[in-house]
Amino acid sequence: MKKIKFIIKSDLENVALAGMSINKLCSLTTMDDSQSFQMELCAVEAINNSIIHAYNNEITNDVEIYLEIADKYFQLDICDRGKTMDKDILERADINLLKDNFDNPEEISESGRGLAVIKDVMDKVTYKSVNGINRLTMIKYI
Amino acid sequence: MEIYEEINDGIAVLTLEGRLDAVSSKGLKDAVNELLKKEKSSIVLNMLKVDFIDSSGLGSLVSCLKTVNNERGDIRLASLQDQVRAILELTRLYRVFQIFDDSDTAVKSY
Repeated sequence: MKKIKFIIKSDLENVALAGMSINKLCSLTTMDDSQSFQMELCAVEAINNSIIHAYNNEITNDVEIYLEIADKYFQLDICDRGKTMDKDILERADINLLKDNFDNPEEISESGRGLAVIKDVMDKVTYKSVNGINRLTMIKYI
Repeated sequence: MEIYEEINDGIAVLTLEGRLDAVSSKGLKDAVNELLKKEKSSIVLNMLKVDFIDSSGLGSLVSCLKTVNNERGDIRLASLQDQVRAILELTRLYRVFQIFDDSDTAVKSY
């Protein structure tokens, strides 16, 4: 098992660097390009959520990113110390439940897809807040 | 993300390079609004060199489509990389955009 930890400041300008790092690390394993891209995508979505929703775009806080590579799974943990997310939001997030009317672009949402994408791509997604630390855990089985 | 503008057979083509994400999405909206100010509402987005898109980037595409539709125009997408196309398919958003294999074909579709 291999583990690596990143810490970035909660500035959206830093998210691409973290995402590309996750992609590159995954590409050095048994993951193919598509899977590595998906890991980057999920990392980016989760980090964005921490910055935008937990920290309200305040750029001086830390977002911690943990990548764990094991024989049978990849695990991403995104941690912040900001506002805790309502658990219902994660439970309700589902690509199939988005109320988009594809026949009328005016009735298509411009936001709110991040967690649904994560849940669709990953095999297991959990969220907990302990001692002020919010942790979104995403697992992809191989 | 870099955005380059050209006019091809009267159609506005925006060539995007880089990541379409939470940072760059405003730049795309601004570029589309600039085209509308010039009364260019038939738009092609050449995405050959867009190597990453997230839900914020998708949101900007939807926002631009709504804005342009309100001006009786359209935004058509061209030359999507496989990973970008996969995200559009995952979110079902491929259903609201006309998508073409290359920019010239998208221009000729108008």
